[in-house]
Amino acid sequence: MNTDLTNLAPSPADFLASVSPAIPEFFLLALGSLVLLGGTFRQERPLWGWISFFGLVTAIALAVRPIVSVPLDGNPYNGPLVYDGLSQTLRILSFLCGAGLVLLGWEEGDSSHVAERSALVLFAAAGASLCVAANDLATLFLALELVSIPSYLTLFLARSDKNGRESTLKYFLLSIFSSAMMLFGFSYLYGITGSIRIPEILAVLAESSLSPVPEAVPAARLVGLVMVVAGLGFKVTAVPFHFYAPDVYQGTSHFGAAVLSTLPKIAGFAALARLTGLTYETNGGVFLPFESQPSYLFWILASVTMTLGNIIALWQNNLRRLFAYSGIAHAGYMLVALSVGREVGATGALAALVVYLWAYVSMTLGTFAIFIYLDKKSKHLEKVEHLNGLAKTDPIAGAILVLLLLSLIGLPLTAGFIGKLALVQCAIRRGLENAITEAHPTSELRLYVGLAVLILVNAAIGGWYYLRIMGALYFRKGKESPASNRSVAALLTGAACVVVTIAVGVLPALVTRGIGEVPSQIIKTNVLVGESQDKPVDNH
Amino acid sequence: MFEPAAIALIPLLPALAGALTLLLGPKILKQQSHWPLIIACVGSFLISLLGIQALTSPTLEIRQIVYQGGTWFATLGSNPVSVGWDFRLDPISAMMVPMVLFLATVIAVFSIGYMKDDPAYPRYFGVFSIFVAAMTLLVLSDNIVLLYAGWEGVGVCSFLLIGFWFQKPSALKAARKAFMVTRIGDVGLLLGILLLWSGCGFTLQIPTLIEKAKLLSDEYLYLAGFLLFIGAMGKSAQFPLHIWLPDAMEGPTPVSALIHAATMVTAGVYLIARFLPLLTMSPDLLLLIAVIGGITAILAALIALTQNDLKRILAYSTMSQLGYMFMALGAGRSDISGHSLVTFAMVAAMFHLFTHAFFKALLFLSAGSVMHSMGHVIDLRRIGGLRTVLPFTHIAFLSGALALAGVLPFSGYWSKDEILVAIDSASHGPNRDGVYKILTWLGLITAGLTAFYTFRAYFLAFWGEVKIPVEALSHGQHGHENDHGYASTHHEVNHDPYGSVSDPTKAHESPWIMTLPLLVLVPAALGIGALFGPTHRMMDFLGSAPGFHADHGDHSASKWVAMASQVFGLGGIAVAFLLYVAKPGMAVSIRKMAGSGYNLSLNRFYLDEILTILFVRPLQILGWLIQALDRELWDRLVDAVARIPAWLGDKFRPVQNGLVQFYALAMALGLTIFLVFLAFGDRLFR
Repeated sequence: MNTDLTNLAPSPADFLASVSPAIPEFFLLALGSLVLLGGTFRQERPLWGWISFFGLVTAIALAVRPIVSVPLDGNPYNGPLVYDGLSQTLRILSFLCGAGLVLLGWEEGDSSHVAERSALVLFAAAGASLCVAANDLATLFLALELVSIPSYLTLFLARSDKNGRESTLKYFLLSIFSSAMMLFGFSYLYGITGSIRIPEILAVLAESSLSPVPEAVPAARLVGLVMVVAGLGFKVTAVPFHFYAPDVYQGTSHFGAAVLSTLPKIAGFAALARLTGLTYETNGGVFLPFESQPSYLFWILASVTMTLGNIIALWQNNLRRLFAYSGIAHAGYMLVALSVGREVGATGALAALVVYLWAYVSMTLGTFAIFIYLDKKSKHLEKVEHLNGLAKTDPIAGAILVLLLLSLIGLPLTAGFIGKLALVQCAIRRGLENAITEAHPTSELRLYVGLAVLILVNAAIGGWYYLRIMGALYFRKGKESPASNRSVAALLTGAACVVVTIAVGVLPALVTRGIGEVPSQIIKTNVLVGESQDKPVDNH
Repeated sequence: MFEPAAIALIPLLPALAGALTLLLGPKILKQQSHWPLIIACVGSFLISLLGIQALTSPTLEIRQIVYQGGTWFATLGSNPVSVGWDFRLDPISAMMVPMVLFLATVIAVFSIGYMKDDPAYPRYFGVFSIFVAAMTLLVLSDNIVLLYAGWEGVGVCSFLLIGFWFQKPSALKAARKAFMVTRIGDVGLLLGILLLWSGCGFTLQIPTLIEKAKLLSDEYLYLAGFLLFIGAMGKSAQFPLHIWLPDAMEGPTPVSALIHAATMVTAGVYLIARFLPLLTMSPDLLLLIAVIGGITAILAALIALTQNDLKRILAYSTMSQLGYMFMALGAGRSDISGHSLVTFAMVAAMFHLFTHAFFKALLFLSAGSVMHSMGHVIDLRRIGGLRTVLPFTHIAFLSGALALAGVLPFSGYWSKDEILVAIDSASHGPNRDGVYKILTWLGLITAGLTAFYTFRAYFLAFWGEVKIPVEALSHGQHGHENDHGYASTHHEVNHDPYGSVSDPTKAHESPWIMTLPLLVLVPAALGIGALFGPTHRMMDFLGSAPGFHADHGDHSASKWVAMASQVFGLGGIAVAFLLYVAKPGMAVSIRKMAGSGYNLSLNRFYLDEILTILFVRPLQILGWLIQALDRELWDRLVDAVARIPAWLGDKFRPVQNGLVQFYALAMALGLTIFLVFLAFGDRLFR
């Protein structure tokens, strides 16, 4: 069956067909180049801001309703890019996030670099969007770099004082270090499987696990896996690859922190979901060759990341630093989905991850939007006490911030609640299901129910520092600063984020549509690919 | 032609008036806040009269007008519930609604004078309006959920009005007590409603419910009916859930007149009357209702004998009269010939409810007028001889007293008579005649006691030497702002608490806005019984209610009780006259002779204390224990646990040292640890 798929090199027509859905990304890249070019002639805030903003809106429109639709011939997972439910929802998230960032960057910093700032956001949004659809290692790496490089430049443009330069350099060095680790891991994966196409890699690994192979091969796979996870762990600020985040967030501007805490995380989590096979299988687990070890790896990553992020956040007084740790904690929650791993579908791990990613991005972006708005207004917003009495002095911004904080805490009717609920559900289901089927039932049950409890404990600890901010808003007295400059765009972005937060909180199905719809024969076809490559096969 | 939709306007108008008053009152209406209420009440009253006219038109086959005003809320699921704005005007509600609205109007006018200068004037009238809306909703609703909504609504308004002067701790306490005690009843009612609902095919319409419930098993029916009765007991202050009513007198007196005498407290009677065709299926339950009613009637009358607070006497008399009504309802069984007394019993109870509302409202308003003139003093030991000082109030109180005492031919006579006849007829039933016989005699004795304590209060207040408390003179002429209890207690500290002066020239009658409502009520209180009772109008009208049938059966065998009650009543009045006017010294010597009995009555048979020991103290101890446990143990434990994350966080902070080379090293170390873990980790986890 499907013998034509054994041909690894797709025909040009197939290639075109598989790339044609990426028209929005190409459009953004072209537009970004034009904006960069135009910026050398004119530096006008409204002009480039509007162009970029509407460019992103157009990209969303193109993503939702493609103008060119080439019928796919053959396996949708054969091209460099794959457009399934996951890429669809996350690319819209990337574009929306980019649109929000354009609005936030509108009045940020000096006016001389407004075109550059907008263009960089366009590039990074396109990069994140490509990353969520990347289906082979090369595309994935390119897409990730397309996110990283604009972020370096954004950091560089954001603040030009000593702290700013230091944080830019720190991020740059550590990012390169992480990319190197990831590439190292990629090379192992390619070396073992002979393919750069992720489904094939996974299929080959799955097959080889069933055969009596030399000891060296599993060891090499382990190295590959850990290296890749370490590289991507940097993007998603997983402990112990998180160290840069607090320093860099604090050293840069609110805008820089907003960029770093959103787009790279979308890209990183999407890549992790693809590489662990979360998107490809409806059943059968992550990285089959290692059985449950990858799950336990993510178990440790998740629990350490969320706990450390939350407890250190308790001590923070600088707002950006606090939100760096808060972001680390939320990344820890999302890693739970990767640890649970096996369930895909409407209530499965992937859906939980997507919902949480939407929640996280909207909450964080909205919070930074309010910070930017307030910073603009009072010329200074660094510490928690600078928010004192905000509910009185600026009720609208105060209300938006309170709603976002409620979502960050995870109160019902907000996306933060639905996300945590889905994750807890996944963890408990994993524990219960494996308790029945696995050889070591009690340990699985204990582990995953324990993880669910840990999420709840962490949510409680997290509630503490968010409530501290809320307390500052309501119960402390602040001094009314003369409103010099109000950034309406930032305020609107904050409000839009609240709308998204509540919309996802009430109707999570909005963002999970199509996620479970993965063609079921994909693993089988890829098994055939493995056969054709003379890999040892054990027919079971 | 009467449009059915107009029924919905009856509760709607006062509700709108309430919303309007509460919204605009404090800022705009201020001292004119009574207008929305009065206009709404008059409007609704006229609508209800039109409704009665339509109801009695001969073309109407079934004497009911139903209006279904759309869905209030609906649920999905296996047993979908749809609660609609269903209203129903039938003879029972058509009797209640105009009565409520008429009294509300009169009392609202009285309140204009009584509440004058109160700082919370708009709040008073706002809540008053909401009460009227809730009460009419309760009476008019055709489904039990709506009925329950009205039931809770009047409860909340009662709470708000008892605690109207919340600056006064006793008012606050009384409000809470009333609310909590009636809540017990409300829980019973709710459970009863749910039982009926689930037992009767998940219907909510009251007539359908009654029809279907007749098929239920005896035990089920008994339980559901019993729970409904618990609800009625709470609302109508029946023993042992009666303890809230005397304390409810902490509210403004006009409120006591309307809510705690004439209307709200009769809601329980109304409820049982509505469901009486259902409850007659269970003779045991009827007996229970009758016995509880009888106990309440005699107990309250005994307590009222010795009270010195005029309003409390009236409160106990209300309880006692409500007991009469329940006794009547409990008599709704079949007599020996198999003739059902259900209609007769229902009509007797509702008729007494009707006449009682008028004369008790009159008595309360008179008491309010006395309070108003006497500087909020209402202690019978400190006032006296007021008939010359307050001539109008005197006439009003006398009329109310005559009606309450049941003197021929005034209102109370006719309705009380019907009740006694009903109970006596029930004592010729197939079984348990003895109990009903005892109840008949209890009723007769209570009639005598009622006449005695009513006239005791009357003679003490209006006859004898003129006694006027100092409060009446110190701020009688000017400044009613101190007129409201919470301020006047302050004065009592300064003066001799029983101090009174006998210079009548400075005390004054209440203003015309207060005396006029009194005089309007006088003919109503006196004559309404004769107008409806002996002419069988009440029987013809109420008997035509769906589920009932007019009963003109021969009750001549029981006519002796009418004579007997007259004898008892006049006897009571005579004794009161003897003791408090003719030979005042005798009362003291009798009090000494009665000794412990007197003290029992004065201290309300220690029922409050008994209930306190039985229920309140254990709960208080439990509450104290839980609180102590909470504060000393859990709080500290939680605090200790809560400190752990912060402590941990502090320990980890030095790791974040800002050195990029350290960060890179940490990443590499982390990587190594993971690799080692994956190589050997299996053993760790398994």
